[in-house]
Amino acid sequence: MRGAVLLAAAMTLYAADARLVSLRVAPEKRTLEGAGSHQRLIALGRFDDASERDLTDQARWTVSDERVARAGADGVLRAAGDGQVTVTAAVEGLRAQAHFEVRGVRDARPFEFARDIGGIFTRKGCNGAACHGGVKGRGGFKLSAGALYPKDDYEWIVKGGAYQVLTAEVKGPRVPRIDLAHPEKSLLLLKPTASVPHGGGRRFRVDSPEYRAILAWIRQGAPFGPEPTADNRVLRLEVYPPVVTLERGQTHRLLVTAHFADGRAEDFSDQALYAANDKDVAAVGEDGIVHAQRLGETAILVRAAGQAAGATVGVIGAAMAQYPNVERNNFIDDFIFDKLRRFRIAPSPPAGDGEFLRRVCLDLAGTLPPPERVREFLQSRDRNKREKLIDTLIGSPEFVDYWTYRFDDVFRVAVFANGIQPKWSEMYAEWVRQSIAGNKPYDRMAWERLAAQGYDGPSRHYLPYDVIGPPGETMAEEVRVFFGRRLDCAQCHNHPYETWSQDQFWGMAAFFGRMFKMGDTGGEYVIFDHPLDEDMGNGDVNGSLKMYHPRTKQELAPTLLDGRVVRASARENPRRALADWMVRHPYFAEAAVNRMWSYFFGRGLVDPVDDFRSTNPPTHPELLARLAEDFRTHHHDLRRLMRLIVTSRTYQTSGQPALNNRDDRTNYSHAQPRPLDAEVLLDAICDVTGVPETFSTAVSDTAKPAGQAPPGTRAIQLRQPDLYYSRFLELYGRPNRLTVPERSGKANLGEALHMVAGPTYNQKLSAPSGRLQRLLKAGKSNAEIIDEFYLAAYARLPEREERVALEEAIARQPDREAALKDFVWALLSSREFAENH
Amino acid sequence: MGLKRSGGLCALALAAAFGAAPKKSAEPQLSSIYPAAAQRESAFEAEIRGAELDGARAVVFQDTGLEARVLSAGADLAHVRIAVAPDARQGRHEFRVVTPRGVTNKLALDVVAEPVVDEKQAGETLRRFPLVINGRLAQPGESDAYWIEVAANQTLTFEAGAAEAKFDPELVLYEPSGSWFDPHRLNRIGFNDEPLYFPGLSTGARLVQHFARGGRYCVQVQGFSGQGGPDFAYHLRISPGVTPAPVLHPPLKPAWEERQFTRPLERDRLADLARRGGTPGNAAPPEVFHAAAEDAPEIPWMAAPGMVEGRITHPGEAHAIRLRVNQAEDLAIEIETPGATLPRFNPVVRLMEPGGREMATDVYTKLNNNGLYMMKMIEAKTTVSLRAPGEYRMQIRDITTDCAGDDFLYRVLVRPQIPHVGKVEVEEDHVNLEAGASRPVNVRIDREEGFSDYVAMAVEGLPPGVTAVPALENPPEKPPLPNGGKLERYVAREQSLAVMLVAAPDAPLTTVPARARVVVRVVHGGQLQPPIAEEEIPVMVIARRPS
Repeated sequence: MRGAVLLAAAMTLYAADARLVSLRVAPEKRTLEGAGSHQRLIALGRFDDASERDLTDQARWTVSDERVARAGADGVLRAAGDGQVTVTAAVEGLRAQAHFEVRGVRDARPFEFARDIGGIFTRKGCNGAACHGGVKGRGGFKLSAGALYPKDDYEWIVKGGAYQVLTAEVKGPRVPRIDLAHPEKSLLLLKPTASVPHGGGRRFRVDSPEYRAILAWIRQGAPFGPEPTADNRVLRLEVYPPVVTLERGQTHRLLVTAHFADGRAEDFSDQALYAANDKDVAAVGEDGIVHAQRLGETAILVRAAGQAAGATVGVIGAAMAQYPNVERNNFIDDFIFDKLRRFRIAPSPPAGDGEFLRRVCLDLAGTLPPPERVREFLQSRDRNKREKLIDTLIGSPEFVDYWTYRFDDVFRVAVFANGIQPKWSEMYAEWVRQSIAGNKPYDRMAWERLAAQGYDGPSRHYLPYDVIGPPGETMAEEVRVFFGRRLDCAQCHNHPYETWSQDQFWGMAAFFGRMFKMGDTGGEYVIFDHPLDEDMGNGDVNGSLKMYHPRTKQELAPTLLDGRVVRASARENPRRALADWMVRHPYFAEAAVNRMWSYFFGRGLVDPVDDFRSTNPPTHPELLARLAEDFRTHHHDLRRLMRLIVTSRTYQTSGQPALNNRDDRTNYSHAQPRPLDAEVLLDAICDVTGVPETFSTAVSDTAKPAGQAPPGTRAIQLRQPDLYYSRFLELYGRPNRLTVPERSGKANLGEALHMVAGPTYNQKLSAPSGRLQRLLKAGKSNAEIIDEFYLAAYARLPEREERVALEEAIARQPDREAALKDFVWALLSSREFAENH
Repeated sequence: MGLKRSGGLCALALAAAFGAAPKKSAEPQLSSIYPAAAQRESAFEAEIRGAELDGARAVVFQDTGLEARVLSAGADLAHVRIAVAPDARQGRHEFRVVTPRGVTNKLALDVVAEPVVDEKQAGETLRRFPLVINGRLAQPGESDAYWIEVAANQTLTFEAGAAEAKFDPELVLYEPSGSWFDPHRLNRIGFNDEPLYFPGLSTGARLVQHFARGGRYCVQVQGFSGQGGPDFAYHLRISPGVTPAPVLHPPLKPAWEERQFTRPLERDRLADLARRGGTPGNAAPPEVFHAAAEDAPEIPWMAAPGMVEGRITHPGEAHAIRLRVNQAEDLAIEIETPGATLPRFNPVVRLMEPGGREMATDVYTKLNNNGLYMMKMIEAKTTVSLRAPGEYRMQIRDITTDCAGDDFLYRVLVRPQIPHVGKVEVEEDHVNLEAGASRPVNVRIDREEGFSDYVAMAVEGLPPGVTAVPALENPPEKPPLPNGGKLERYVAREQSLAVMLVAAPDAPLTTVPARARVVVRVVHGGQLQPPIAEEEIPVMVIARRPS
């Protein structure tokens, strides 16, 4: 079977020139507002090899009414008068249209410092992280990253002075960077044109449009323009297309649209800064045109108006004449296989029954299928056996154990992380377990954890060691867990690469600033939010619960990331409002589905899963959005999400690479092997050998054990990693959950030594009650024993060659039992066993 | 390295949670009894474990209805035969063992009305309830499983109690429904460690289960974090229906309790307080008032002394009442939580002057020793001196804005301060005196609300040859915290009295403990007043141990 598939892949021929089959224009519809408004157009042609290419340069552009707008050969539509207009692109006899409304062409847009001057700094890289937009600025001159804070930028330019990170005080004398009396002599022009020495070199030439714009502004007295309003803020950027596939040497325009708070959308393609993550794969010019260089995939980052967005560019090989038809089980497959087809990567065939069985059992239940179940599944002719198995596994007792353990990890259930009280971590763990067992909607779980007060299970997580953590750290942890974002950098300064500002960080931290614990001696702490209008005894000790911005020293109010201040009443728990907002925010669902996705594929659509940022874009943004939407509309049902994932053809793809997908690591063309987590691996060893593990509360060098988990306790059932000691689990990467629970699947020397000489392997192989001894006592032949262990460890029978070789090797040994132990040891030490694939 | 440290710290955390292992003592000491529960009108052999039990000659029960005979005694194990009378009181019966080295600490045996079986007899499927099973988790990690058979729609209550304070049993209920992976797997359908973990509350487990399906189920008793050992005895009670839920209140001593939220503020409290101050207690009961919702258009009035009663039913609810004070007055505010109490209901009571400034609160804040760290506690009593007449406003609510319930009941007594002796505590549980030696008996008393008279103490009923002489203990050297936060408003002035019990070298040895009584009296107006506290402690005179 496997050979036939490879042969079919090998027979795939690469196609000759593709034929254009359809044409479309992007955007299809838009409103242009104001004098000088314009819109970049892209003519996109679809070819019979399923590729889509930018044909803007080849297109002939016409408009229905030149009194309304005119289209240039460069594909830019420029407004001329109010009215409706249809634009037509024509290529090789095909035509496509787009429709525009033009309004207010006589209304000149008022000058805006942020857009007209700040935009130049962004486009020319002046306010980038490596230059004046860095934490401290550069050369004594500070600009906000991406012109996020135009008022600050204006002050540094017009009034001068040097920025300081820890205080709002200005350092040094204030010397303006513009000269109103002699505008041409302004530093703001001399430096970027390299007329005087400039560490950043020349950013634009004298008499360039940028130079002229800045000069004109200074000559007009350097106004700031109207104050920025909430409506006039750019909320987000959209880059189109989000995924671009190109053959080497081809080019593609990007279309950048700014979405304003008042609902307007405006073309910002010529006001954005473009940068490629990997310039060797694709370069991008100032004009936003991508040039494909060599095979590979890279992200193009786009910045404008303080916001950032990105697009994925894949540089692909030649087209295939016969791209395989792949069965699709649900919408996940549409997104995955569409992209694979665009990238001209053939997916591997579906996993065989044994491969699927082992994978899905480990992923849904953290448990290997027992040999008798493997035989049963392999022999079954039921066409729906996979769906039936999935439905059996989801919600099974092992599923509850396994996903409790998974969320114990995410939520950091540990003695030291929960007040150094084993009883508290037990309360917290029990809350996690009840939530998983009852399939509590994930937004409810998150809400209960975020808003926790009093003395219940989730409130215990607010007591790392036994104190209420600093508000900033506490907030950053919640945002990491539920939004998948890392705001930590913004604690000390505006985030140098992202749009997170120090104001946002501390505004969010203020939600946690009133948290207090009631109690004196430990063991009794009740969490509450301190009222703002009363001392609660603090008058005696002159205490104050106000939070202040560390740089500006301004008093902080709880402020959501979108800038809305939450006016909680003096006695209200402000975290309730935060929780309400967070679980409804798009970040919440996308972070949740991304985390869940990573459990089934070994990487997130955004990876690492807790690191969503513009410089780390998703590999499949539309799939991520669709999964998040689906999760939201189905009541944040984790089980439904898991079922959706594991029933997809994508999940059920074989781990065997096909001819042209061997190097693919990110597009799910074939299943990637994933090391088993320490707990799952230990349980798997116990299952295969038939010898359970014993877990003690004592460390290895303590003579007398203080306590012992009940016999038969599995590693995934252990709740607090710092309660039960296990040399094996520590070696294989069990995190202690005191900090962000990072698991590393990388092998280390300690693991190798433990495999050879450690008790986990050796004692279990020799245990009289083990599987091997039982089979020997039952008089089983070597072939039967080999089969049994293959089924238990790999969920498959040995290939004929494997069986023959093993039988011969065992027969050669004088001591049969020792030889069989060596065989089982080899099985347990193999990558095939230690990985999920 | 990090791991070892982590494990070591964790061991400390565990020790803190369960209490460190008792030190080896030369005193005879009891640690457990097995079985821990006995049915009325039964006789059985029991194992009593402890230390220095060699030659134990008697078991002394506090109450009537139980008798015991020592069958054999080694250093750490005594076998006794216990007979429970048909009319023995149901509940805990405390006992001590008398040995040549003196009398031991107390331990308790539970007398129950239900049939009692031993774990060894409970191997078969259990079908008839109520039933009490005596068991023991003899090894770390041990768990005892009992199979039961129930009818469809039957409800059972399971309660596991420990015979020993540091043993914390857990209950797990399984159904034998198997799984795809393991057809014999027992699947958890119920779990309880304790109804509420909080210092002072029992760590016994309680589980109520409604069985929709009839059939066999397995109930398992295990120790928290795998505890086990010879002292880890328990009794598992299985009762039909739903038995009354335990009241989650810390245990109150039968003697006077002043600063516990759950002590009852009786109608004659003012009289009781006066008596404890050495004056005739004939004050009238305080009038009862009810506060209104804080935002109600009309806030009711109260006067001191007066009792405010109410309940916080909805999250964030706050109640208010106005207090009219006609002259400068020293007031005490006492709070009782008859229903839910800490940590579920944490009542905050604040008294504010007309301008809204807080004059008094039951929230006590102090700095920690690092001088930076505020600690807040709520106290069951606070005092305040109102320097001017006026109309004050009192607010009552929960400390959280999310917790409330029908059982969030409060009673707040506002009354004039009455100088009196508060809690009296005798530290020693029992005294074993070698002939010619001496041992102190320490009594701690709380001076409340400015009580300044003498307090006299006597030890009565001592065995022949034993005398009591006054003694002074070394005062603590530890300075008070840098800022106690008006400590005196929230904490009584604590004072320690001591008498030294001295056995003459020729004092006759005792074979049964003498029931000595520590008696505390107030001296007021030059008169020794009737006792305000009496506590009995067993005292024995024992032979001097050869050096």
